Amino acid sequence: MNITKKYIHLFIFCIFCSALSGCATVPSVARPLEIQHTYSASFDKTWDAVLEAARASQGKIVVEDKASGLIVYSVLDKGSKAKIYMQVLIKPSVADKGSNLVYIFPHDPKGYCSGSIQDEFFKDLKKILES
Amino acid sequence: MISREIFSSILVLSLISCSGCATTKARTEVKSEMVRLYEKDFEGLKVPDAEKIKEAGLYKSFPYTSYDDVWNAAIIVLIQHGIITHISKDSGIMIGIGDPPLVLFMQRDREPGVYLSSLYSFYPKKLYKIVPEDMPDFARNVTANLGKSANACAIFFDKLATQVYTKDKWKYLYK
Repeated sequence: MNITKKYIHLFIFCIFCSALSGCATVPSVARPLEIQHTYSASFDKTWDAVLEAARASQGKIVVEDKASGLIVYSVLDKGSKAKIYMQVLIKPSVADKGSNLVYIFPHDPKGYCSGSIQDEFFKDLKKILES
Repeated sequence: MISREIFSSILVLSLISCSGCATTKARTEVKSEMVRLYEKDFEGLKVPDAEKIKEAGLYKSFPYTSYDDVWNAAIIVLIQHGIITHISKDSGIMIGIGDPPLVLFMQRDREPGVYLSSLYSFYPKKLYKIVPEDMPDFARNVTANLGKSANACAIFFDKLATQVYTKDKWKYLYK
């Protein structure tokens, strides 16, 4: 009799535990986007490298203003075939003198687009700067 | 008599079928100025004069800062708003094509000041034309955007002030 009671209690406890586990959710933490990288190259060298990266991706330069450190070029996304405007901002780093910060902010027709396009850009830029 | 009835029914049928063909050719696609610019990567975008931006725009000054600080902060905020299609630090003008498109003029004064206006103020009539569905938001719902412009300017100034006085804080860039 006692053994069956024990089993019933264990069964109820198991149900209670499984019900509770359903309530536990992993909180989604907001994290900054990977939009900037620091390169230990001069401003001129970084500027030229960004222009070369734009040419290598068959991009069309829309805007370039060296005084502002901004280059905007359009490319066609290989996957979606959508036109993407790559907005690249180059700024001298305050924390690390002699280095430059490169920000990228791509826009597609629906607005800001994130994903592999930034990673590919930074990979290409690193390759150009190291060559 | 019977042949006349047959003839008239054939005539009616042929007229109906012909009228079906006539509609397709009459419709032509009307492109708005903004769609035309988007398709040509904003080549030929007319940049308004500084004086005209001052007349049409809202103004905000940024005390205890430098021209460069405000200019750099404005770039950061504008590239989050849309696509920068014109920028010249010499003239102090930049244009960001978002929803709505904004044009900004920065005045070099004792304390830097920014004049901000919707680009629609300078392109009024052409923007009302029909726009295809697959076009970006800034090219669609133009009538609605006209009402949004003042609100968009206020939001922009708010973000710009935050960016200017907190330096490298990109508070809107979280996913």
